[in-house]
Amino acid sequence: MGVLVLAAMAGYLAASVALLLRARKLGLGLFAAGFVLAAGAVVLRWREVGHVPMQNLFEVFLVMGCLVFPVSVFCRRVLGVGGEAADAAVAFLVLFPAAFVLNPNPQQLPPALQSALFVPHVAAYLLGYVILAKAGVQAACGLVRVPGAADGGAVSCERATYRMVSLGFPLLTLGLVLGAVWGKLAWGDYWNWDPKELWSLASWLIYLGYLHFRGLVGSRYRRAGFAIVFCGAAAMVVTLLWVNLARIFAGLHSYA
Amino acid sequence: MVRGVRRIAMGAVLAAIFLLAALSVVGAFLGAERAKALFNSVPLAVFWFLVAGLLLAGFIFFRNLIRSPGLLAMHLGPLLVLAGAMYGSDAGHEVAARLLGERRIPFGYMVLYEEQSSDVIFDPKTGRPIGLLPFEVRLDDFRVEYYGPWLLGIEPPTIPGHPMDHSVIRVVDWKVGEEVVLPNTGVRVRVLQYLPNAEPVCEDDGTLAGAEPGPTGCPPAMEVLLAWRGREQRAWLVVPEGEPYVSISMGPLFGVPEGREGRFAPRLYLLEPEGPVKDYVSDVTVLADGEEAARKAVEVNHPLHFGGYHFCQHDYDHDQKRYTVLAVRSDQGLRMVYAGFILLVGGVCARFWGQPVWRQLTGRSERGS
Repeated sequence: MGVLVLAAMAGYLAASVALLLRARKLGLGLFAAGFVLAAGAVVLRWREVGHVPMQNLFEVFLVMGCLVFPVSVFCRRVLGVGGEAADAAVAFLVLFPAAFVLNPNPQQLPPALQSALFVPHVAAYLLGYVILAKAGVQAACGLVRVPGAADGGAVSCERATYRMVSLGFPLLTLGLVLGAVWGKLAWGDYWNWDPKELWSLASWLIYLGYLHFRGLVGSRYRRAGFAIVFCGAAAMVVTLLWVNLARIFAGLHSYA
Repeated sequence: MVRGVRRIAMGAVLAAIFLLAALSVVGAFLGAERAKALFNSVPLAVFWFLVAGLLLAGFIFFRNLIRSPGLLAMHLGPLLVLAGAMYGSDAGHEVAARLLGERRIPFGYMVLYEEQSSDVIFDPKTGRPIGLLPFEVRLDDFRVEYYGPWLLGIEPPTIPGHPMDHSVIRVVDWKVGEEVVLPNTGVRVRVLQYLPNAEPVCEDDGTLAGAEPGPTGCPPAMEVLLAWRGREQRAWLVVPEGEPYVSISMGPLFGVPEGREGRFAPRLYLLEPEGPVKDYVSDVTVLADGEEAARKAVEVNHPLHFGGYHFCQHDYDHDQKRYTVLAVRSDQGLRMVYAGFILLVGGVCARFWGQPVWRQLTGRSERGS
């Protein structure tokens, strides 16, 4: 499985370079190959642990590294949002901790995670994170005014950012609500003021604020909109990484 | 003027959203206890009412929120969640007690010993009793289930003049059908069968004859064949209900007279595993007016719901497994919160997923999308 992860990373990195050099067919082919390898690693892990591999950070990053390609394809074909070179680079970065940093030792599911809501809650968040990470990249490109940041896509950075947030925000909402319902069943209350819950709420509120801001000003003040989305992406990174790894945030969600 | 009021309202909404985001980050650094105290403090209570007021004002000044089903749902949802959360809070319970005469305990713990019933709720911080339920809960059985199988171990015979020391039990790896040599004895043991959930089978005179497969929750049993210097001993290790181990003497194998095995013959043990816990289950019965009103195997993620309370598996006696601890929480306001959740998720999905698809199908496009 380690070989598969490294090979997937190599595929993603090569894809990113090829796409930056405008070798589109080669780049997309390498991107797809990386996805197949990452998906193979996920399947192998699933068989090894006997449950859907989303329990600890290693598995979470493995699954996210697998989701980037299908999200990229969907965004290009359905939303007209490009940026595959950046997507492949993000996929490489997402798999990096899984390959070199995080503990890959399989664990049994503790009683709290044995729930029908485990997969929908985590899956909604992982898919939402991948989509909103792409929104964050679009926003970052808009902030630094990268020429051709839409990378041949049909829409501008501002519209691309809005479309990505519109796609990912319902998933964040679903993840938040499912987590609350699950918390009620597992711990007795739908909100426990856990650091992970509060950071998740903060992330959700930042995107909520962006949507209201855009509703108020439309596509004017683009840089402010980009900055808000970028802050949302930063909050997501904190929610995913820092909260799980830093001891100052010990709480009910300490499963990493 | 209306336009100006709308702008002010929208500005206030944006300020409230980003302020709440900032407070959430502050709360994350404070930790759960202090965050709860912060968000339930008087200034934040005023803030919550302000947020509710802004949501209501939105319905008045922004007609779209009422005309569009998605927008209506995703704004009504948080209002219901807020109202339900306020009603279900400690302060909400006090208000309900004064105004409606409904006196419920917002939150606490129950400690239940096997085959005993209780109606006492304890404060989670002080451990003192804070109230009584209008019914009793009886713990019929408590068990812990592990991922791995039970352990096979050998305890050597005691040295004359020294007391038995159970800490010297040595565990051996085993597999059904395979032969293992027990350390320090030369005894070969073959596990003939292992029943993870077993019921004992007894002779007519009550002596143990063996075991047969039982329902989930029963303790395990193992049939073994011991061999040493041409002698064989076939035996069953059947764990009694609620016990962490069972042992048999290998005295017959060594030809040790009955009654003197403790000093000269080793013992074979079937021990409870020490690995990851798979589940812990409390079989409880609710007694209302002395009669059984409900039964439930309470596990994590499978709480008991009765009398306006949820009883969740919280903790247990880790040493001897004699008692269980259930978290008890009042359901006041919960239905409102869940209704709000449904509206919020439905509204958001309808607005951001459903509406673009609908516009695509009908050939209309949204400005700025």
